[in-house]
This record gives sequence, C-alpha cells and structure tokens, in this order.
Amino acid sequence: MKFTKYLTIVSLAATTLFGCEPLGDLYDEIDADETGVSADVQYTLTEDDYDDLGKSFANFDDEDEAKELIPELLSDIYSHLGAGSIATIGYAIYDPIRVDDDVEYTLTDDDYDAIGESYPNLNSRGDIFKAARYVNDDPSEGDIVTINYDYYEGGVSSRTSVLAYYAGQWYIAYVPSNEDYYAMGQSYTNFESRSTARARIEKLLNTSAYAYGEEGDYRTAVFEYTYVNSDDERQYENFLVVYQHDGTEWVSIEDTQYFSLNFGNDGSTWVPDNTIKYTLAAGDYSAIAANESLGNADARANLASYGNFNTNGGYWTTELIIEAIDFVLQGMHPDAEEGQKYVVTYDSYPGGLQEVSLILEGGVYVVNE
Amino acid sequence: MRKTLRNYALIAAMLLASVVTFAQSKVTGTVIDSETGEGLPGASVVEKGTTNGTITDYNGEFSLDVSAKGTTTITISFVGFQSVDKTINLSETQSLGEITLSPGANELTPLEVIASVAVDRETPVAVSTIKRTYIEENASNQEFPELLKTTPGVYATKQGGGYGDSRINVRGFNSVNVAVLINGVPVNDMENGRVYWSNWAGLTDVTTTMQVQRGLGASKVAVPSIGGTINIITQTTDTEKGGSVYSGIGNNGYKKTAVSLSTGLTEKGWAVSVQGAKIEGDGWVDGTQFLGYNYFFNVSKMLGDAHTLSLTGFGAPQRHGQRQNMQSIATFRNAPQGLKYNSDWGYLNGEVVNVEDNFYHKPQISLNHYWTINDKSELSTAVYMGIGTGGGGGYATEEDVDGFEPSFRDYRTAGAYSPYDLDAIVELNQTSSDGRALGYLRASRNDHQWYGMLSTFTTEFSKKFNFLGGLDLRYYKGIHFSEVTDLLGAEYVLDNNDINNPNRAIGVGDKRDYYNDGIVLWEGAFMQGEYSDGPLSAFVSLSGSNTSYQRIDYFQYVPGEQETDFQNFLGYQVKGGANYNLTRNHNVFANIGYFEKAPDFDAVFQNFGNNINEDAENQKILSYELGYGYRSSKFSANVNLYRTAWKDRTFTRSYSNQNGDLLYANILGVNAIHQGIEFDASYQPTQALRFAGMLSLGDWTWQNNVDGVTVFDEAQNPLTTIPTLYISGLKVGDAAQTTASLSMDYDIVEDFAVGFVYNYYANLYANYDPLSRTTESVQGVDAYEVPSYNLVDVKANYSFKIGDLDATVYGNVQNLFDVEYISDAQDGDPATSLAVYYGVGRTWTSGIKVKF
Repeated sequence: MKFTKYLTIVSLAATTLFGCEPLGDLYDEIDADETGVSADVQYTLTEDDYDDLGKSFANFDDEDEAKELIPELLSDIYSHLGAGSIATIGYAIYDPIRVDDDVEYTLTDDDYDAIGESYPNLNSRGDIFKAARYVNDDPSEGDIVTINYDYYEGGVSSRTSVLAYYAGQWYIAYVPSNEDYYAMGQSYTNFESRSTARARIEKLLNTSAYAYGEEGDYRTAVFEYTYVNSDDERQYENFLVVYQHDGTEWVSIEDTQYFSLNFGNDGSTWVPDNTIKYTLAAGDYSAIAANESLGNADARANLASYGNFNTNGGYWTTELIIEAIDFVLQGMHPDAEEGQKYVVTYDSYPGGLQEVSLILEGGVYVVNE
Repeated sequence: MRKTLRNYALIAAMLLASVVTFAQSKVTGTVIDSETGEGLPGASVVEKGTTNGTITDYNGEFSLDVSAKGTTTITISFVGFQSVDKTINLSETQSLGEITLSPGANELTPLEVIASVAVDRETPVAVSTIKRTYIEENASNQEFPELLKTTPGVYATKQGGGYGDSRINVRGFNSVNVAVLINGVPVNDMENGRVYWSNWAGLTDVTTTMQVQRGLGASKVAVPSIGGTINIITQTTDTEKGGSVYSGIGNNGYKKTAVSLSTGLTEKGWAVSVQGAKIEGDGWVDGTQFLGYNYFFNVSKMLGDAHTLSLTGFGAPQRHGQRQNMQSIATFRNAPQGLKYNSDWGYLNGEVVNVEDNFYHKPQISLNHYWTINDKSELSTAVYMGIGTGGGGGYATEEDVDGFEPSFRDYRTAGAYSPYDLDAIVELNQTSSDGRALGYLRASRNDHQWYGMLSTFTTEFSKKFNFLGGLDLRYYKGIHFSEVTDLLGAEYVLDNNDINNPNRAIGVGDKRDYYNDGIVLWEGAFMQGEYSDGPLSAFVSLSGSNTSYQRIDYFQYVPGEQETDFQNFLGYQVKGGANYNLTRNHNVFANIGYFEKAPDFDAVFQNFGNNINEDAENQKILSYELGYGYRSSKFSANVNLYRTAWKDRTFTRSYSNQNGDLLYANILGVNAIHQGIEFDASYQPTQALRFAGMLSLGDWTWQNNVDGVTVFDEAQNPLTTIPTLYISGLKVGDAAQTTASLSMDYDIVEDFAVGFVYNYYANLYANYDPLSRTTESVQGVDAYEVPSYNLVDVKANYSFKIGDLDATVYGNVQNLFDVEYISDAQDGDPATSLAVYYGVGRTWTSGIKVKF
C-alpha cells in the first residue's frame, strides 16, 4: 500500500514537473540569431555626431580614423538595424595641404654632374624632375622646391621652376605671374585669403590652356600667401594648392574634404564594407550557358532557353550556381582584392529571385557565412 | 472441440459492463483460476439464455441478481479458459461457492473472426487493445488517432487542428501503410491508401473495441499493414436492452448530444440498436468551426440456431473549417492570435466563411451473415457498400482579359494575420471586364462508390488444427472533380479546362478544372492454417490479390480516348508466427512475414493525366518480430523487438518547368529499415488503482542514396538525370521515434474515479522531400529535429443515481499545462523556413450520461 502511495505521488509529481516549455531553448536560439531589420541607409555626420565621438571639430583626421569611429556612432543611431544592412555615411576629413619643406636652391656645376647631365644645364622636362629629386631626395607631402637652373633649348637661359610633392609624385606647380595676380583681381602679387586664392586659381586653370586633364589627374599651384601673425608682423610664404580633375574640370582639394564610406552590419557590429550589389543580366546568363565547364549539359540548355536557373533535380544545384556566378564576377572584376564582397541577385525557377552573399577567398568567390 | 457459444457473441462487450435489473434473488460465488488457485477477476457470469450478467471483481467474487425462480443455469467464462455452466436451485441456495476455471481453447465471435481480432497469449502479434470504458472515459473531444496515443509505436497529431483532421503513424509509417479495418472491412482509400479520419469523426461513440496490431498483424486479408493494423469493432448485437442519453460541453463552444437505444435480444431473436449524435463547436484554432452528426444502427436476427443475419450501418456527415497551411515559427510568434492563427478563413457580409474546409458523408452499410455449418465449421460473410460524397473547399482565381489575376493573399481585412476580405473580392469581381469571376470559391470533390464482399470460412481439421480460407472482392469508383461553390458576386466563371467544352461560362455546382474517375477492381483470396497444442500455437497465412486500375478522364481527352486500359498488379503476402506459453505467466512469440504491395493509383497514372508509368513496381516488405509477455493477476507486461525492411519503395514526384510543362521523377529503389523495441505494462496493486505505461524506442532510417533518377516530361521523354539523391542514413521524419507514456486510474471512492495520462515524445524529425537532397554537402544531414515535449491529460468521472436511473458525470482536460509545442514540421531552418503546426493548447469537455 505504501509502495502504491509512493508510486502515485511520484507519478503526480513527475507530471507537474514535466509541464514545462519544450520550445524555450529554441526560442532563445532564434532570438539570439535574430537578424533584425535590414535596411540600406544614407547619413551624413553632423557637428553633434563628431562631438559625441570625442572630436573637437566636425571632421576626422584621416580615413582610418573614420573607419574606426563611425561604427560606434552607427551602433548608436541604427541599433535596430541588423545583418545585411548597409549604411552609406558621409563624413569630413580635415587633412589640410600645407607646405612642409620649402627649399630654394640654385644648381651648381657639380649638381648638374651629379644629376647626370653631360653639360652644366638641364635640357628636358624630365631633367627638371630629376633635379627636384636631387634637391629633395626624401620628400614628404607638401614639400616645395624652387629650383634655379640653366636650361638649354637652342641656347642657355636661366629659369626657375617650382615643384611640389603630392600623392607620391613631384608636380611642376603653376605659379601665378604678376599679370595673373592682377587678372585674378588682386592689387598685389599675393593673396590674403587662401579660399579666395584657391577659387580664383581654379577658375583660371579651368579657363586657360591648362584646363585639359584626365579624371583623377592632379595639378599643383603655388601662390604667395600673406597674413599678419600674432605679433602683428606681416608674413609672406608659399602656399600650396592642389587640384584634381573630375573629368570635366579642375576642382580644388579643400582643407576639409567630404567622403562617403559604406559600412555593413554583420549581425552584431558595423564594419567598413566594400560590398558591391549586383544583379545578373541577360548577357551573364548567356555567357554561363555557353561555358561548358559550368553545370551540366541539360542545365545549360535549360538556362539558354529560359534565362534563369532551374533548381529542380538534375539541373542547377546551389553549388553549381555559385560556380557560375564566380565565373561572371571574375570576368567583371578581374583585379578584385581578396576579401571583396558581393551580394548577387539571380533569377531561379521555381524560387524566383534569390540573393546570395559572396566573398573572394583564395581567388574564388564563395558563400560568405 | 469447438463449441458454438451463440450467447458468447451476444455478451462479448459485456465483459466490462455491469447491469442492474429488477431482481428477485442474488446469486453469489467466487471464480477461481485453476492454475494459480487465486480469484479470477473480470470473468463473465451470465444467466444462461439471457443477457443478464456481471463480471467478477478483483477477488474473483461476483453477485448476480436474477429474476428467475427455481432452477436456473449460470454460465461462467473467461477468455483463455473453458467455460463452465452451473445449475442452481434458487429455492435451496443462492451461493455457487467456488467455481474453478481451467485454461482452454479460445473462441472469438464471428465478427471478431472476420476482423482478425488477436487473442492474448495465442496470436503471435504485438497487440494493444482499447476497450469501451476507456473510450467513454477518455475520448472527450479526441478522435480515433489520439485515443491510441498510449500504444507503443504510435504518433498521432491533430495536424492543422480541424475536426477530423488528425493523423496517425505507427512505427514511423503513415496511414498509407497502416491498415484500418472497421468491423473487418478495410477503409484505406483504394486509390492512394490514405485514411481520412474525418469520414469517421465521432464514431468513437459506437466503438466497442479498438485493437492495434503492430507490424504485419494477424489480418488475413491483403491490407497494407506494414506499420500495423487498427481494428475498430463497433457495437453489434451485444448491447443489453435500454439506452442512454449524453449531453456534453467543452472549450470553444463545443457541444455534443448523443442518444443510443437498444432493444436487447428479443424473444423472437431480433436485436436492434441505434445511436445518433450531434457535435458542434468553434474549434480551438481560429476559423475551424465544425458541425457533425454521427449515426449507427444495427439490426440482427437469429435465424434458427445456425444463422445470424446482421445489418449494420453507420456514417458521420460533417463539415468543418480547416487550417490547411503550415506557417513559420516566426509567424506564430508574431501573430496577434498566436498559436490559434489560421490564414485560411475569411469574412463575407459579416459572416465567417471557412475558405479551406472539408465536408464529407460516407455512409457504410454492411450485411453480415454468420453461419454455423456444423460443429467444426463456420462461414462468416460480409457484403458491404460505402458511398462517399464530399471534398475540400478552397479558392480559385482567374485571369481577366488584360492579364490581371488577383491573389487572395492580397485581400485581407486588416493586413497580415487578418482574415480574407471576401467582400473585397466581390467588389473586385464587379470590375471584371466581362462579368467573369476573378476570384471565387470552389471545392475539390472526391466522391466514391465502394462495394465489396469479404467472406471467411473456418473449419477445424482436428483438435489442434484449424483452417481458414476466404475471398476479398472489391469494386471501387472514385469520382474526382472540382466545382464552383460561390461566385462571390461575379456572373459566371470562365473555365477552359474541358477540351470537349472549351471556354464555358459556368456557375455554382458546375465542374471546373478537372473531372476524372478512378476505377479499382480488387480480387483477393487468402488462406491461413492455425495450429494449437497446449502451450504452443502457430499460424501460417498466405494471401494474394490482383489490383486493376483504370483511369477515365472527361476533361483532358475526347470521347473514345478517355479511358485507359486496365493496369494489373499482383500482390501477395505470406506470414507466419508462433506463440509459446512457457508458463501460466510467461509467453514468447515470434512472427515473420513478406509482403509485396501493388503501387498506388497515383504512381501508376502520372501527373493527373492518362499517362501510364510503365516502371511502376510492387513494393516489398520483409518484417520480423520477437515478443515476450508476462501475465499475472496484478501485473502484466510485454516486450517486443521488431525489424521491418522496406525495399523498392517508390516515390513519385512531379514539378513543373518554367513554361508550365509538367516533369516527373520516379524515385525507385529506396530502402528503409524501421526497427525498434517496445515495452508496455499494466499494474493494478489494488482494486481501486491501476497504472499503465509504455516505452517505445524506434530506429527508423532511410538506407541508401538513390542514383540516377531520371526526370521525364509528359510524353515520357527523358529530360535530365539527377545524379544522386543523398538520403542514406537519414532518419525517417514526421513521427516521434521515441515515445513513452504513463497513465493512472484511481477510484477514490466507489463511484468517483480520477486519472491522468502522461505522454512524452522525442526524436521527431521534420518531414522532407527526398528530391531536395541533391548535393553531396547534405549527405547525412538530418532534417530539423523538433524539440521533445511532454503532455498531460486528466480525467474524472462520478457515478450516481437519478431516481432509478444510472448517471455518470465525466470531466476531461487535455494538455492540462497548456504546453506550447510543435507537433508537425516540414523541413527548413527554424529561424526562417521551417513550416510547422503547433499542437493545440488546453482543451476540455464535461458531460453527463444517463442510462435507462
């Protein structure tokens, strides 16, 4: 009797204990993985943002600092966004071009020798660059050399060239002549305002013989900048301005430049992201269908007829589709860097449009987990 | 020697019933088991020639009120023992003293013979039996499949949760491979082998016994008992005179009223019983309102000593709203209705319309004839017919002239998770260019006519050897079409699917989309030899069948080309087994069988057309089983080990190409092994307390990859080949491979009993499509494993008297702790693509039954 009482109690107890939540663990797992809302957003940093990031001014020092600090801000502003989101962020970098070393030098006979000239003069444009490298053999950005030299072209004449070092190269700088200063509306052969100088020289370059260039080309200009210092003394110095050609005209590189960077959300943090979003085009499908190393004969024939990947048995498997996309991307972007990410949209049947996230690893595009 | 116990047939179900009649004398006594010397509980004590009887109690004692005076004869019997007649002179004494019963040959009623009911400690088959009282006390709002959940190897769920939408798997095999017999008559659909429990919703009321024979079973007819056989025996002539009325209520507007009446066995040898019930409710799941009736009648007549004629009819017409579509876990968690969310219903004019619903009425009538030819031979014949009408509702859309075709999903009353806005579809139909319906409601009808005859001849060759032989003939015609049920405000539906009647403007009740018949002719014969000598009994049985299929399509072919030739398939089954009773308490048994099964109708006729699959092959099943049983008065237990190897299973899958051409793939040569161990026990330490428990550990896996599956187009041209389907070693899904249960019944005081049933389910893998496993990277990766879950049901009942009448109040609660669990799943990632049905939450019923 006692045993049966025990048995009864144990049975009842067991049943109450077991009325638990069988799906509790599963829900926790799903919630932890929750990708959240995915969206592509655009945003430009405001003064307050820079403030929040601990910057005294509304700009970053360089791109690295931007990449380092912006994610913090995004986790704040876009905390509700999850994996797959891309944020295109506009930000400022204050990296003023300032003259670093400013050297004036007159070449001597020994110098001509050292440069490798047979005669004590320079006779080509290339020589001028050689001279600059000779005068300043370890240049850093913003260095200026003013070289006085003898130039042979039919006869020997004395010349002066100003060169500036920018973006790893020496450029022969445009130096406004006195007439140029007057033409630019100056009373004196200098500028008191750097912004005015930049703008007017820009205008001048764009309306002169110098207006021609290829997108990305740089052009330097050195003008005389004058100001009154804290001791109330008037100063005169060379000031360097750099212009970049945007395909149409020269545009000055301001002290504060504006860039935008893409950041992607990987599920927990924002990281700088160079993911390219691409949708396969008709031409891509044709090229795949014609490539006998992809898929199998039946699959390619089906693709050629219908222009989409038939995922039913016997045709395209997910693995074969990735191989085909790899073929397309390699052709499109042969010099992509390791780690380059793509989000590719392709048409499939019967699933319809599908998106796959790929990354270049070991020279091959593979699914990005 | 074979006895013909006519009366035994009449009182079979009375083993658990106790009858109070207007009495004059009280006969008492004690029935003793000759082998143990102890009292024998549950023995039947009957006043010979009447239906007045009782059963012995826990100690073997009985007390029977008899109205006779003077001399009367009392018959004492018990399954497994030789019956004893005792004559008593009531004027002298009223005590029979001790009556000893010795073990002896067993006898089944003719109905039980035709139904192949298994006999304890004799039939070498793993068996679980559910009796009438269990059904009365536990059925509540559950259906046949769920009543069997304490049986080892069973996994039953409500699927979408609609009335009658349950399903059952036995040992991992779905209903196509589980034979269901009602009174010996097979009810698996003749075309696809499935069992539609909604055809029988509510028939639990008229069931006397439900027996699950696991594995190949004892069934003599060739039925697909690969997982097992579910034998449902309804009431026949065994009820005593009287009747009952039941009225019950339950959760979500559940209401049930049932009446039963029986004349008992009259002097002229007639017995009539009828039963009817009405069941309605709103359903636990949204949008699953239901209304069903069930009826049963039985008229029996004894014609002399040798013949009994019995006419039985039953049916369960019903209409119920369904939850047809599974959803992702995220959908259920986000829906305001939570687990009750159902996407498949809507509103029209302020009224609920169950867009997905099911309605069916299948009356089944059988005329049974039992002929006791002589001392040694009997012939049981059943001639039956079933006429089914009904089908499932849904919606349809059509393109307008400008190419616009609406999608019902876009028309909801208030965004996602809200019902369909059918008023909006009505408005849309008003804008159609020429009055055609752009959106409307239709029903897919699956009517059928089924006529059959089942005859079993039993004869005793010698004391030890019986022979049975018989015929199983069936004619089946399935009528399949889709019809318009509601134009939703449009003037007509434009249907262009009948090539004999293109571009027809049709209305409500007209056929659309498809119309075809499936004819199945079945001729089967079987024979069985049974040997029994003392503790050993054995059997060997052989059956064969010829299945002929013909398809007639009225829409896709012109007259003269509409009928296919008959496609014939021979199947056969050979099985044998032996049971040895080691002692009064222990027995062991073994059985082995081999079965070749004809392919399904849909495997023979591909893709809804008269396209004959030349490669359709028989499936081959080899199964063997070992069992051990222990019986004593307080404790009994069974252990079974089984192994079923299924070879050459065929899957037929079809899908469409980009331009809508249908392609299909025959996946041949798939092998699976379902093996495991099952344990069940019952323990009754006192008269008032009973425990039962079971544990079932299954290991069901697909055995091999399939290489070279060819994909064909409709003209049977091979298009491409799937190199390999990587399914080797994958666990069979859609049924929990580990199940356990524990139940308790406790009579607190004489008339008040309580009890609980606890169930545990684990190792449930989601269902998946083998055709999706085409890359090597998924080799060995099982489908998603659903978290295991525990459920508790409780019950109570109280008996009392209202004047002279016996009354009982019942109370039942299912899923007492309102556990949230997933019962059905279709493979995918649980965070995104896994499609599920959740199990239903807490439900309850309460009712009162009055007997008169």
